[in-house]
Amino acid sequence: MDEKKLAKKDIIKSYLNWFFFAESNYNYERLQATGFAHAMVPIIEKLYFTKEERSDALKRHLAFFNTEPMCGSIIHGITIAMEEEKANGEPITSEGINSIKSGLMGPLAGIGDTITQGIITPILLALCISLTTQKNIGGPIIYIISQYIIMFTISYLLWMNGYKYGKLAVEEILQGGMINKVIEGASILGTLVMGGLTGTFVSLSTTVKFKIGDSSFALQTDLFDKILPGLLSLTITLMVLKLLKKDIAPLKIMGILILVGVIGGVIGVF
Amino acid sequence: MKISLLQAGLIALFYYISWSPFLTYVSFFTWNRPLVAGFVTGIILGKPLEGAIIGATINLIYLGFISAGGAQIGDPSFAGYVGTAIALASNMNVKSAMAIAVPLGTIATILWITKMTVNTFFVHMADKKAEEGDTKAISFINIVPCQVFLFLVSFIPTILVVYYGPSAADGLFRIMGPKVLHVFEVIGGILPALGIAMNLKLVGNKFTMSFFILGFIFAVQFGINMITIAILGTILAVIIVQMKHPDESVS
Repeated sequence: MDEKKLAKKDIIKSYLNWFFFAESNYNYERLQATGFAHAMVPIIEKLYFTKEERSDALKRHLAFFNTEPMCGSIIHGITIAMEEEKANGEPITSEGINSIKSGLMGPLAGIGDTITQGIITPILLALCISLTTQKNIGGPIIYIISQYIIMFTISYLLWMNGYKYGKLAVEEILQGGMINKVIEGASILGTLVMGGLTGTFVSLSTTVKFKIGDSSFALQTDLFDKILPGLLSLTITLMVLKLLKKDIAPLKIMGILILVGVIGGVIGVF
Repeated sequence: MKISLLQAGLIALFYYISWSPFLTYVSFFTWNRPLVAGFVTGIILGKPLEGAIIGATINLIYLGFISAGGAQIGDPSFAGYVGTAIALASNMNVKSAMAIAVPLGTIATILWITKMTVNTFFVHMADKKAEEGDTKAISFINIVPCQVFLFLVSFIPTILVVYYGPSAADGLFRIMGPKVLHVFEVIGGILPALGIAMNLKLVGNKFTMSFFILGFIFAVQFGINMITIAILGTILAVIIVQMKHPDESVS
């Protein structure tokens, strides 16, 4: 029997379908399912030629799927490798392929969201927002270019390595200490930057003044600023964090902050 | 300034593009973000730097907004494009821009919910085509019907709000009076705390919170700028990770 082999360009075409259209048809029922199936189309067209085989393949890849699209790319690489083996007669079932996808999509979503949305993006934003507000038009431009380079590199490398090394690679990554160390270090960098951002952009001060005999005592300048400049800004940020940890919805907190601002501003406390 | 219909159309178009797949998934990290949205809107309205600055400030509110599992708690893109447009047209200062961006971003969530619901219909279309083994149809369905719908549901409301919004905002401000500006200043000063706190909730823990306070002191007491803070943060991170894992060699 002829061995069915995928060319590099098939795998790249598959990658591009995902890199562009992963969430094009994002929906409540199956989330990224059609995106996954669309990504597999170049592979299916190269490996399967009967209507039954193609129908089987399409149906199994229209199953519910959701992960962080950049870091989750490793799943697609592995799936492609499995489909190639299956097409060449290895006893791999539809259920087998989908259980690997299901098993990996959760953890990779967690890691991926933390890395892309929790660390890389906020740090880049903090730096470029800061640049921009210092009247530097380079801010947004550097931001856009950096994100494209970083996200493309991460997703492309994970995709290709997922294909090359298969399941073993993922197990190594998920269990290895490397990724934990990277997240640990990045969290230190991230929280330091968030602190700097708070100092730069959160501002809250009180205009309350007391009269003690002949002299007046201004709460902000005579007390708070002497303890730590920006004390109220830091306090309110920590208070919001406390509310978030109590699982109060962000939108509610937004409303509370606006209310606090309105009342405080109107009665003259802030 | 008065926004022309063409300008409003371009802004609405870029808002649609920011949620579309055509500039790759990285749009979700770039064109979708108020920093970039403000920049693009600023270019369209002839004030790129002012637009970028307004967008950057609006972005602070949304810094920690994380979208996971199909949930979306606000539309930073709508807040960015439309908020910047109205702020530039009405000559608002950045703090007021932040204040109007909030309701804009919140109401626009409805567009997201609508799209996520309607797209389910297209998945069932795909199921039928999968039965027939029709690969070309699957590719088509994942691109065309969903995007046509998204365009209609994104472009039309946005062009209307951008075109008629500034005059509505002007009217509102005239009714509200001067104290309003001060209230907006206050609100604009505390809203960024939400975005930052949301990020802290995700990556912060007992150990890293000390760095948060340290970073704050760096900025406020010592006036260190963000890039230097980032460099210091990287150095600290490398030192501490190495100290925590001394038996392995880290290159």
